[in-house]
Amino acid sequence: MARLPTDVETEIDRFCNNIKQNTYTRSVDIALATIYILKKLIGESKWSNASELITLIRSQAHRLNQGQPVDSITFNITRRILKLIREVSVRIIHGKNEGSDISLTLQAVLNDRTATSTINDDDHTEENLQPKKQQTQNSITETNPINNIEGGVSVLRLKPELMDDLNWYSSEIELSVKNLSQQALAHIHANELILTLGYSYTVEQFFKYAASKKRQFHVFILEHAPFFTGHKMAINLSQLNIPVTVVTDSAVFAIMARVNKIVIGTRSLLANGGLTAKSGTYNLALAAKHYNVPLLVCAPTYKFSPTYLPSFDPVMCNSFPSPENILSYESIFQSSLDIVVPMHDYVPPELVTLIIGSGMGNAPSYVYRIVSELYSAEDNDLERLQKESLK
Amino acid sequence: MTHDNILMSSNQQDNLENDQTLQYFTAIRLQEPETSVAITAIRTLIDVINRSSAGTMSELSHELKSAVQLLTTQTDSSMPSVKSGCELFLRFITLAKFDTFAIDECRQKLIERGKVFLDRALSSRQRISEYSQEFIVDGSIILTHSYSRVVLALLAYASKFTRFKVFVTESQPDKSDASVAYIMEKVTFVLMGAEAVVESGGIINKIGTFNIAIAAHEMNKPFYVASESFKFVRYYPLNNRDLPDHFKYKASTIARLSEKNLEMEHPLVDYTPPAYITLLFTDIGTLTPSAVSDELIKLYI
Repeated sequence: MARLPTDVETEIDRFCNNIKQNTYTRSVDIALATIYILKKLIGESKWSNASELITLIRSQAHRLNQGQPVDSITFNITRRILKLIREVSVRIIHGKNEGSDISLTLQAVLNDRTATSTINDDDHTEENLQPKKQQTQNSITETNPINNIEGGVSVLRLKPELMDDLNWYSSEIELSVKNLSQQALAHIHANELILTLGYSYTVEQFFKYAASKKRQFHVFILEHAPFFTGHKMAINLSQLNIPVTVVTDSAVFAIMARVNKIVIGTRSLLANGGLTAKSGTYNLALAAKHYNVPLLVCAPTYKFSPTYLPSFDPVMCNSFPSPENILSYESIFQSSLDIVVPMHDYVPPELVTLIIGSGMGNAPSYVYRIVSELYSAEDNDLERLQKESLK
Repeated sequence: MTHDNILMSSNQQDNLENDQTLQYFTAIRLQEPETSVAITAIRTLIDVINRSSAGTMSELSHELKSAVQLLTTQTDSSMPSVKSGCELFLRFITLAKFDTFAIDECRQKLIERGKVFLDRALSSRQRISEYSQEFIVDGSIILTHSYSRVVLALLAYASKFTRFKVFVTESQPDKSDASVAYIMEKVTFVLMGAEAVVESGGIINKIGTFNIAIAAHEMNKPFYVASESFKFVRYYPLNNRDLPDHFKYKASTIARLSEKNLEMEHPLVDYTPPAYITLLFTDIGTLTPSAVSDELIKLYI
């Protein structure tokens, strides 16, 4: 495996440090930082064909994702870029866009067998004819992550097109929140009472756009204890002259009867249409279900994750920050006291009404389709690589 | 006179071939009971192509179709998976493009393709075990139903890496698994095999599955299904009554009774709608029930 140039190494270290210290306040900042680092990685490292590039990125993926769970924005963007590389390679070879990913269907199995048996294509700069049945004893799914023919596309042909695509993807990310917020008028109607939880940059922009188009509506904001991010949201929205009311989390059930709809952000969107969102969201969703209030989730495309939660146990798949703001360190005399402060909640897809993405609204049961178009199935083992690296 | 003789001898020949087909099938079932029934059926079909003395492609495909008919009506094995496996297999091999017209070469090609399909199907259980690995966490308590070879392989593989407990229901038309609701609160998740996965994303499985699904849904426990992709059938039942008879009852039962009496018989399988299923573990990946019909279309292209 080639060593990365020092520049790139420094940038990767800096990125990981920023993540650890929570320097990025908005999720779009994490997204932009990730794509910046990946562009640098692709632009400045040495690789000679598509197959090598993919191997390089896969080997660095878990390093970039240090300290983050598997449904993080970093992983999503890494996977998206891997898919872009494959698409560009196919486009260069076949001259047009292939349809949806059929790599795991029976047809593809047969095509692979016939492809490896015939030698062709003078695009093979290296001897990349690794046998397709490269199966280790442990796992059958560890097969070659890129088709042999497409893997041979050389750097000279691939790089310019790929950098073009990456620049376009990067600007798509920058505009993702703006595109999302422009759907606000379709969902926020005159004199409605909208409920939200805590502070989310995406939701703030969503409301800001509707207000800028002179829509009159009232917003109830749940405080989001113990972090109280709801206060920041209230201040920001009231500066835009939107009527705002701050409500304690425990009152959500009491006010739900008066609410017209709920608009929230989320940390990530899972492949089954479920959410990992701020703690308190599950409570909110259950109350909404009881009163049949629509729950709308604003999620830009880089939050769509192809992973599933292995367990719905709230303690298992969660992060727990310091309980300092609940009971400070000095005030604890008993060591038998345990303070649990989960950061996130899992909300099952049955409780979500609509997912507002950068393009248009989708039902949670349709997320699998979007995910299969955004990412390739061969990259699904990135999580396993991450887990193995932690062992 | 001679015309009658010819007709009779061709009938005799048919019967002879049918007997051979059935013998091959039952022999494998006896010798290798852990092999999936659908795989056994596919191997039988490959054997039919091998033994065939057909002179044209259409005669060969006619022979294959009657062999499938034979297997589904004359044997008492699991109907839905045999039917779907055979149908997929036939589609797979007849999609071949033939450059020559020589029947022997064509037959060889068909057998080759058949072996590719078989290899893929044989590795599917291993794939399923690997994909579902992350869902089995240390300390899980799993509920399963009756005997599914896929679930057995999955749990055997998982037991190398994690510690968990398993509850198994005893189910037959006569014994009752009435304590399912009782233990449901202790259970972490429910894991089932399937005899067939239908287009809506629901499953057809041993009778009692729907009971367990309802209990799991009520207690908010995840309901997972492990199934190979060749069990996907192009069928859309609307409710339990909508299932065709040859799924619900053994072939011998249908032959024995008339239609009215059939309704009095205990069905062998039931249909669980997709709303009660959380996820399906298949060899083409982990799927939500809504993704099944998409994958089905891709399989049959």
